[in-house]
Amino acid sequence: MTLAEDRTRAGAVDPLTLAVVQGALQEITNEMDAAFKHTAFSPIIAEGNDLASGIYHAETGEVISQGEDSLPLFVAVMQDTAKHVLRSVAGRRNFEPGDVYIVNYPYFGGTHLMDVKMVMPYFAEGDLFALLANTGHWPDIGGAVPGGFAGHATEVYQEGLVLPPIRLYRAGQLDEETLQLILANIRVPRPRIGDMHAQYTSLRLGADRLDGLVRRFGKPALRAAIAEMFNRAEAVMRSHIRDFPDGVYHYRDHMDSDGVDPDPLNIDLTLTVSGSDMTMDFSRSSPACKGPFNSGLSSTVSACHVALKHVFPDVPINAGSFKPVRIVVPDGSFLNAKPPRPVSGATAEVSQRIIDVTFGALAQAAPEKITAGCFSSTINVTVGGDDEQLGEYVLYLYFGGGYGGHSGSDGISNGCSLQSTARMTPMEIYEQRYPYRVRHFRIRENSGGYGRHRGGYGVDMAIELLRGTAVVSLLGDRGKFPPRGLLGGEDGACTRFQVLHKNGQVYTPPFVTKDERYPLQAGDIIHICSAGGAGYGPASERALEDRLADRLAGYYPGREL
Amino acid sequence: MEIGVDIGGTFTDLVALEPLSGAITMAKVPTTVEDQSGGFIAAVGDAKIALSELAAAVHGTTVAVNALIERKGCAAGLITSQGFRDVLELRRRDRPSAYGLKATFTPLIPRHRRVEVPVCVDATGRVLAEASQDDLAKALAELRQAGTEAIVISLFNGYQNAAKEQELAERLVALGWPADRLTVATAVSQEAREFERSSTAAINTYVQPVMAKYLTHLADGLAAKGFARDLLVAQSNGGAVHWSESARLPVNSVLSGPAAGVIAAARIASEAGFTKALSCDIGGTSCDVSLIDGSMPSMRAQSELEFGLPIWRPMVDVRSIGAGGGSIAWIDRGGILRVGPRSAGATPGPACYGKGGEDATVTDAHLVLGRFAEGMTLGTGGGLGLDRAKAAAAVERRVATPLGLSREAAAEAIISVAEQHVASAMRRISTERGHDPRDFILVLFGGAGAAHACSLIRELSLAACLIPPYPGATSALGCLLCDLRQDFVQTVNLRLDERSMIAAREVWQRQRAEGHRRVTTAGAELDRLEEQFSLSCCYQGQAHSIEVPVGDFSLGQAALESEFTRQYRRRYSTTLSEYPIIVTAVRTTVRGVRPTRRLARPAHVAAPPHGKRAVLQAGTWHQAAVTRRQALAPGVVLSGPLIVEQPDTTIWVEPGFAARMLENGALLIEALR
Repeated sequence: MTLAEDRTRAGAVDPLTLAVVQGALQEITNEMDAAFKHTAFSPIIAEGNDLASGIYHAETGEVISQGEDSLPLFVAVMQDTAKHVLRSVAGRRNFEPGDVYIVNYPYFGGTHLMDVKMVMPYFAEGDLFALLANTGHWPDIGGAVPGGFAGHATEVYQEGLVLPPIRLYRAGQLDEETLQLILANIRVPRPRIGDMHAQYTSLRLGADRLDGLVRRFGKPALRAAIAEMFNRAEAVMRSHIRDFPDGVYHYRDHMDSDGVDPDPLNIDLTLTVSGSDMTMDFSRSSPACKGPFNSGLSSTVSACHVALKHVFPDVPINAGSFKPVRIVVPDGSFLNAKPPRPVSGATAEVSQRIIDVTFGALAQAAPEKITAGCFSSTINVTVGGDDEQLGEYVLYLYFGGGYGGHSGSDGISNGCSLQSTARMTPMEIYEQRYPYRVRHFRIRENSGGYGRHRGGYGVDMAIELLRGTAVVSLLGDRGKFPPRGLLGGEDGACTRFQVLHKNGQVYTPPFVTKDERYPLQAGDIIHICSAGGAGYGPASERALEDRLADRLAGYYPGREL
Repeated sequence: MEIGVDIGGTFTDLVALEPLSGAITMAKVPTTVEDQSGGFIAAVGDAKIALSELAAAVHGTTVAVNALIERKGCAAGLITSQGFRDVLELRRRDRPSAYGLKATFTPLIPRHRRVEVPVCVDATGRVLAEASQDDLAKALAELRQAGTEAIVISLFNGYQNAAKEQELAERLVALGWPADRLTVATAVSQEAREFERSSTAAINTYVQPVMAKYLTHLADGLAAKGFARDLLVAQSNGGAVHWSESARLPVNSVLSGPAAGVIAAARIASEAGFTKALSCDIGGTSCDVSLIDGSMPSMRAQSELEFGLPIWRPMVDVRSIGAGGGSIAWIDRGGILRVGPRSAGATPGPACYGKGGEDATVTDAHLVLGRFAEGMTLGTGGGLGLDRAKAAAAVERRVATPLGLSREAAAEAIISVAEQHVASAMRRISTERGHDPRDFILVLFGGAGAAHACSLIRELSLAACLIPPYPGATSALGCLLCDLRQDFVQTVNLRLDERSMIAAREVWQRQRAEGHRRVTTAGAELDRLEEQFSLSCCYQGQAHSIEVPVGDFSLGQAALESEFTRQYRRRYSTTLSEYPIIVTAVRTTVRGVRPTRRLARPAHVAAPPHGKRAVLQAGTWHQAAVTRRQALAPGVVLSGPLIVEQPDTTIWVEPGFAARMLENGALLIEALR
């Protein structure tokens, strides 16, 4: 069977087979997600949902299906991971049943180093039929700072252990030497054995399920159905693009800085719609930066696809849906990072802003389909401390913020990062586990850009160190350039980070949203305000009853409503 | 005589049992939407039951869940700690679905009725700041001013100091606030996680006045007609409580309907000798799937009623998916056939109802394939005859023509896609708990379920499928059969040592005493009390805990440690001996077991098959014998192709399968070897 034969047969796939195969492949990846999540040790995977599972084409590496619980950003990243493994193996050795490769290489098929992928060849009746892969966020991957978010890093080596595709399992057996090499280079290594096992078990489950599907339909029919799924997803995407007026739409937004140089970074997008084709050209964006805000090409491309999927949620996730969209990011751009540029800000920060910038461009073509500017910064706050009772610890905080208002309603408050589905840890759990007291966790008043439909609110949180000393590192954004209003709606409020010292002094980081190892004493308070969403439509058009409700609720103290 | 009465969206079902003979009487009347007690009383009348002679009545009601979904609860108010009044609105950083940002969310309690008082409780339960009498009076005045009808007190870290919340409640009552319009969050849920606990308590407050009014009205109405016992109300945990408790804690009844169905399924399976079963209730709009192990329904710790409305209470683990008889078949933008989750509902209903429905549904597909009969009625209360021509036209127009299929192939495709959803849900609930579906039988019920028995057996390689005697009234039967049950969970978060075991024992004692009190004072006849104690444990720093059952709570630290380690290894094939073990929660379940009732099988009326009907299966028309279920004597075995009809459902037995009538009246369907 060849790809060309699959394509020829694709048109003849009967509708029932097509519907059932698409549903079954979706369910297989859903089950892989669930199995991984329920057995993982890393709380970021188990509780934060920072994982993905998928099935990839054996020859091209293209994504066939991704789990519905998978973190959105991995939509198009993981197929590059699969391609990377295919390429690294090609000409060197053959895949064998029971092989599993481990990889976190950020420049091709990667995100930040903490996202560790495993890729397994799947054999059906003796032939390589597909690749199965998953990824999960490990709490640590070595490097200069615990947790991996080194705000002032200038090389990837400071960010942690880099793993090109290497064989971790051979004939279903874990390679003990490779394992020891990895464990010797990361913090708190033991639970990672459990994570690897969870990852492996989930891949095995996927293989068992695929066996069932192969038995039921046979390989040729299955391959043809997959080829047809690609065709249909492409058709759906094209039909959506066609609904936008042809034209060239330009939008530019700025990130505060890269954490090393004080200058802003530009994300500059020229989006062209021509019939059912779309081109997204980032050529005029900033060049590669010194600090950790470089984004690997896979991550950049994937963020673009996530943005489109937010606008057209009904497009199925497979490589067919990517075909109508051409994404141009030249070498040398900070959105196409090359080794050894540091990248830890890409996944949580740059990718979100790419999504927001894509919205900004699309909104010019069809504002009614888009939300106004979103908060778009996760604000990664990592506090390392030493406590008499707890010993050494790492407290990791991250934040939601306001979504932009849209044609249907106000934006939601404390929404999840746009590229993520990871929820926040409850404040009571933070207090249980760490020597901190949460002084308040409330709506950030006045943060939602006003408008016919106002933006959602950011979060206002203050957390006090109770014992010992600590150092706080910060990797966030949106401190200088606010989420922008749409159709006359007002902008949302910017991110704000401060340390309120016990003696009354207030510290604001020189880079506003980036900092590394700032010292804290007991009684000091970290005060974080996440950005609010922007408004949709002019404030003058806001309905009277909505204004009265806003006033009654006290969302905008000091403002005439 | 004892009765179970379950209120559904369309029908109110009653099952009455004569305990001595085990004889069962049923009634089905239309649900009275405005006041559900009307349907209750009408069903009692329909079944010709004298309320004065009733020994027990257990009620499953949707009053609470409807009030929530339709947002018709009261004007609720919240009193909370300084700094935390927005917890209900901020949730935990999320959105309703992974893709699509045009979300909207309105909290149950608006901000102007959420008031802070300067109380501060720390993570160990220590009180760092108090609210003065003035503070409280001011908060209360503010809430009164805002038109508040019921108040919930939920403090940050309140789970560590229930007494503090209780004290505030007493002070509010002393200030003149009515005690029956007050919810103390820790009396509803005593688990850590401020958003989830507050949400659970806020839901309770929101529906409390509505539920209290309804249950008082119903209890009074029943008493006026001679009912001399205490009305019991079915709960989401599969047990029942006295109606006055349900009026006070209505959040515990929100998901009671599906839970009661699982109780009945567990009973029917165990009577037939099966302790492991998947229960599947396929109704008009949805399909509810659960897992039964050791004849007990699997439980879950929480559920999200809708976006931003989690309920953290132990409940039967019921997974609901949008795949029922009324689920609509449609062609997506890519030209691929989809079924559900949108449903034609009861109005206009499937095209074959002839009530103006234009969409092709699963029921329409069954009719086209001959599995359902032309002119048959759905349920004794409906009385409408199915119109095959309308079904065929809808399938043709909505599916066959766009896909270039024959009408029959289109109908089969609709069924296959719907069955795939159901099978996926069953596979998921099994594998997530480490089970293999092949070790389970299926208990299939609901009006739209029995037509899918054979294909689900095939799809999941299940051992067999049981169709209960009354598949359309399983929730009412579950009400009738359920025990009294109280579940308690308290977060503690202590390192496992002798001291924490002492603390745990104190909590168990308290939970047990409260459980006993509630169960024994509910006014039900009880056979015995059963108790289960357990601890949730994990290694320090982990997110998920394992529940370790403790047979006898005098168990020591060493024994508990080894039991935890054993279970951990079984689940994850490793242990982390260098990390300390943390006890995260103390749990108690008290069950007041009601006397076991014999259930007589429906009377058998000998009659030959009353004809044959052409049924399409896998592209071939089969001449299937058609028989009434009543006509099947115990022990009888019939092979497919076969249609078994009964008033509340139609059973399709494919070629290659056989149906056997069991002693208890359930029909067992198995693949022929």
